[in-house]
Amino acid sequence: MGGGHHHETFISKYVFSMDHKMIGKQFLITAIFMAVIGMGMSILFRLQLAWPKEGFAFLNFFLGDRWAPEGVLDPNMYLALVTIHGTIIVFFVLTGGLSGTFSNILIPYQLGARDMASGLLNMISYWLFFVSSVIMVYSCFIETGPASGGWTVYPPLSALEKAMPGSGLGMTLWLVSMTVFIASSLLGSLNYIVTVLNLRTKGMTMVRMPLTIWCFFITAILGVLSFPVLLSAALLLMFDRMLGTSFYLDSIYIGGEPLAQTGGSPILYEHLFWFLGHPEVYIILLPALGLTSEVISTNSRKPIFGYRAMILSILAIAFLSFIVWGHHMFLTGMSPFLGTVFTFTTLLIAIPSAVKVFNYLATLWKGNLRLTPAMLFGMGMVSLFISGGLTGLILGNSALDINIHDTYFVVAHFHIVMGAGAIFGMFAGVYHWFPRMYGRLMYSKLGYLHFWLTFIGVYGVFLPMHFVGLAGVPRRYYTNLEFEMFADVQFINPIITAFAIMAAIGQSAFIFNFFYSIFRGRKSSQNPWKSNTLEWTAPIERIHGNWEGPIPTVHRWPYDYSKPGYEDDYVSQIVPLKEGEHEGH
Amino acid sequence: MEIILIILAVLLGGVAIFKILKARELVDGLKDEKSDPITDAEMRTNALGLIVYGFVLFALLVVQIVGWSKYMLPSSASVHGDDIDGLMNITMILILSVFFVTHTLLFWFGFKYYYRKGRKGFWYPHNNAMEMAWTVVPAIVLIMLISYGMSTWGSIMNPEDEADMHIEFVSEQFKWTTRFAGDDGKLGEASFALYGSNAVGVATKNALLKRLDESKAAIENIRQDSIKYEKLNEDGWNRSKNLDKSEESLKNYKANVVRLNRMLADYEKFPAKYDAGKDDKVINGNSIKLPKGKTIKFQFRSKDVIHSAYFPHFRAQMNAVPGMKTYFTFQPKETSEEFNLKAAEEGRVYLKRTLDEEGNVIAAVETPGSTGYILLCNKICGASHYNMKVYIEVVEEEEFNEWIADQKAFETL
Repeated sequence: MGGGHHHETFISKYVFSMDHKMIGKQFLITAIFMAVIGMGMSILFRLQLAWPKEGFAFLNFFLGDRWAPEGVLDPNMYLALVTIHGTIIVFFVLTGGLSGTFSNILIPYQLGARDMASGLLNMISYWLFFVSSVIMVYSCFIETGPASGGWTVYPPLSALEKAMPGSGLGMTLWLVSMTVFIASSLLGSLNYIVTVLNLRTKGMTMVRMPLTIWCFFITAILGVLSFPVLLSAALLLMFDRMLGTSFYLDSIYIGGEPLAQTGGSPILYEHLFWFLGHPEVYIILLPALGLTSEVISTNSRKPIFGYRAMILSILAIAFLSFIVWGHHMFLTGMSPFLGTVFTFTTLLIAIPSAVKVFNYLATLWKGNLRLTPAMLFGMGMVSLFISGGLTGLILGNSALDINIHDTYFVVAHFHIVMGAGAIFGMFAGVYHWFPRMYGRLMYSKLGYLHFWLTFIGVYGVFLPMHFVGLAGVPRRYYTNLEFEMFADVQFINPIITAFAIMAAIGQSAFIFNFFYSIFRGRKSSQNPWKSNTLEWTAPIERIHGNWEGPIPTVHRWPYDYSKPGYEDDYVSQIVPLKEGEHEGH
Repeated sequence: MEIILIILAVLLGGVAIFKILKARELVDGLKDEKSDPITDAEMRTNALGLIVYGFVLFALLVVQIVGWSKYMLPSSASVHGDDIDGLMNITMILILSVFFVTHTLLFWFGFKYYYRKGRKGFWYPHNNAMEMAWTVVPAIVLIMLISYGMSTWGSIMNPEDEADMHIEFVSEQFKWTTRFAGDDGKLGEASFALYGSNAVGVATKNALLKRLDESKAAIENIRQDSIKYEKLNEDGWNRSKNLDKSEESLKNYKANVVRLNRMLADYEKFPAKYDAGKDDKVINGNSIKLPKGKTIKFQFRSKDVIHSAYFPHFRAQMNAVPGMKTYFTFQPKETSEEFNLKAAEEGRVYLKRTLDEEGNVIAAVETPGSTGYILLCNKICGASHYNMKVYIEVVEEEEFNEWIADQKAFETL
């Protein structure tokens, strides 16, 4: 691969680009678009939950008479919105969007590589992601509505067209979209793994890699090992739906007829799904933690505390994430002994997680904290990681799970830890690396406004939601008013919805800031955050190949901030060690 | 008129934002590219923001815990539930303390150590002793929590006591049907092959024979229908759709006939398990009674999709999965009346609602106590998932015996 820049046409530069930086931006902008859709859906069903009997004229305007007669949301549409909201946020925003954006932009840059190992695969990965996004959005516009069986699409509900309207064509499109998405994710992940293993610049040993790269690397390995299992689950579900097989069906009486398809088990699907589904949580969370580590260390002007312990805890989390999937299935009637095993492995994850939290706190301690918007989002992420992780100790314990399984307590838990937590990591990443992407700065004041609205919104929404769950209210209920005991806590729902609307409006500060700053933002210097890592040694102009001359050589780990013996409070990785200087970790 | 005003307001707002941004850009243009992207004042303000936010967050959490506890579930109404409540309380205390400590540090550090010019961070890349400490201490605490949890779970899922009673819930879109074991104390064989007028598919010999006739009749009907569809002068799409449907139904019922014949053959070998269903009691309607102080083994089946039987007051939940039988055993320890009194003692309240003729709530008065036991569906199952309930009343044994004696046995239905 040559070092210099070469001629590019509009198409090869902006559309079918093979440059990792452009592909990263494509992922990011697609993800922002999908996030707006996913968030918009959540507002629609939050309105229904807060004011169940009210009609909203604009709902009728958007959804028509079939799905919102007189402005009152239809129960099937409610479930459809919940389902597509979950699917979009989990897969398209926090998997495709998060890994796709930052692995692409940062892996070659921070490793000192000119591009990904395969630019072509990388390009195909993005365009498959794009196609699957289009299919998923398109499925919302068909007559019978999109998939509505929850984002986990458990059969038989998702397998039988007679069970609900969303299990018709909508479900088929969901499966097709996910199949394409998985192909995209696998191509991307393989590329990331190969790049990290082979294209590190001279001196960039594995233990000199920034924690971002460690996280992306492990995330990619998790993806490669677990997404194929989801693919097989999806294919078998397609067979059951279209070819009359019965992998997941047994003893079903629906539409007034006993089905001929017998001998399968819906629990098989649950096992296959959650074998992906749980690592998926860490596929989402690890990149966010990686970005947070980098942002916190840089802006604390301190080395990340316990670099090696951080790597070990990432590895431990990744390993454990493969043997805990059963905690989603404690109450499916599986062997109680198995429940015991999964409780044990699940709660073990708290140990490496605790190590990470304490290491973050130790990094902040006696730092010189530059509270940039990115830093605030990073600290917010730590807060959410703690809050959401702690409630995991309740849910992961099978005995306690009995009474709060599938209640709003669960919804609050995972939205805090892997929803908002990962989104905060992503925001930290966007604010921090925006100058690297576009050569300009985002407006800090709008950034602060965005952070505070979002941070207030997140706890405003999800803190009260824990109490709704502790009162026993199940998730995915169209309204809570049918049960007297749940109607008693209905007063909490408008509070939650109000915060959700506030946070959603707050995101416009980000979206405006993002797109406006691309064109009109203040020009950035080459290294605006005074950071050590290699991406800030590359020229600010975007060139294919990243560095004009030879690629940089690495002499030290990336966290030499405020190192004694240096005048500045940062020492770039390309600065050779002084005589007698020890590498500091 | 209003529309013109709104458009005007939006336009003026747009112009204002544009002007502000323009001014901002001019100011930025004066700044050196190398100058700091954020100002010291901004960092000071946000540091203050962090500490204020921390205080407000803590305050709100405390207010919610204190103010809303009266709406939370009362303590358990089942024997095993007391263990769950105990474990829950310990875990809650633990996580709340960790939450407060770590967040105090987080917000305090954010406030105390915000950026000042000319200062440097403290070079402190690692400390093995400290790292060891915060690995080992959580590990010990967790091991204790895990052992407590595992033993609780084990004793709940593998109860030592023999069950006094057997009750079955069969779920379907969107209701539950209850079956009590008859005088023999056993639930008879049941199968999805018999659903229809037979609500939970109890497979006694008579029921099998009746269903066999029904299925054969269904096959005959479907055949007649397909002949009719073929003759009908309809457009191709409708015609083939109808024929496809007939073909599928035919396949379903043919398989059902095979299934029923197999069960009838099985009956000849093992009549007892089928005969056990004769005296079972199938309850129509959505309210049942349970006796206090009896260990009840609940069995769950599903007709169509996965449902989940959730008894929040009894701390019990189990999925109902088509093709599987699942179980949960518990013992109600308080009658509904006693539970209500206990809830009131624990400071719990519910809203006593007065309805007008159309069923709208016209008044809701906070009343000490609880609205009573229920069973609900807790796994997404379709449009009316939110409304699948069974009212449960726990009564003294004698009262229960009277009630159950009034229910008709399956074979006499």
